Amino acid sequence: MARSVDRPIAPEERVARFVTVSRWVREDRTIRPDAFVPPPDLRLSVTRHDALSVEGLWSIGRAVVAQVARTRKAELSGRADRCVRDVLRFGLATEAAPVPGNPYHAEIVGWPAEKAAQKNIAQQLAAIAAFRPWTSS
Amino acid sequence: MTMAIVGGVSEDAQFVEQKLADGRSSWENSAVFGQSSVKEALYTVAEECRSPNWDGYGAVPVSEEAYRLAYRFLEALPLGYAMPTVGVEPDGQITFEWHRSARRTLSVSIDPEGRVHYSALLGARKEHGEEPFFRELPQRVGELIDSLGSP
Repeated sequence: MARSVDRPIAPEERVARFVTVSRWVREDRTIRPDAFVPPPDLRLSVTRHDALSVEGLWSIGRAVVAQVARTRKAELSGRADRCVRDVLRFGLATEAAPVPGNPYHAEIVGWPAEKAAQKNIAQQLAAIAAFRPWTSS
Repeated sequence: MTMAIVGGVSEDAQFVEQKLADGRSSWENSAVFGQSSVKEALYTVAEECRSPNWDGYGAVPVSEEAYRLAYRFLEALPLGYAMPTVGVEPDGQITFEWHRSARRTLSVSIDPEGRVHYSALLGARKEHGEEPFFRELPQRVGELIDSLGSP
């Protein structure tokens, strides 16, 4: 049976953008659009919720932060969850892009070339994202 | 501190003038203090994001030029304007945000080539664009800050 991560990403799937920069979270616990602006290669990293448990999802987030912590003080603030259907609404697409250590890795692609247009989409994504703070227990 | 010349030299006139001057000085100090704390936040962000991959996703470091231009942008904000909060994007550009609610928000970033990229959600309306930045606040950005009002 094919692994779920090998299947194309369905519109009803949820994806998580791990918040690895504390300044991406406002004082009122909403997400700044900075977290959703794509890097220069216009491929925004997310992780598919898929069949992952909550702990499984968080363990991936901690691994992302562990990379950052090699060069500077870093901690996982939380994650911003979004339904893929909402991403599609802005003319973007979500592609499965497994990487070593994260077979659930995906990328949001199809961004406009103009920086201001990217920011506008990022603002709208941030406005509807659900922020889940990370709390170690 | 400049005192307005009003002509009257009575004790009452001098008292009123002194109070006006005290109020203006207090307001200026408050505005300057507000900008100082934002400049401090700008420095902190630039320092935290100087190394490659500062976000764990391959982010570009904030360059000296990006920091310098962001600093000049802050200095170009007229005294009395609402102060932004400071952030950073994965392409290494510093961002300034004026945020009132999910649908009343303005984000401005400055690239190392001296272009200001702005985006606003204004209720049902959306707007975004790009302006060159030399030394003065781009007019449209100033208008958008004004339209958002104070927090």
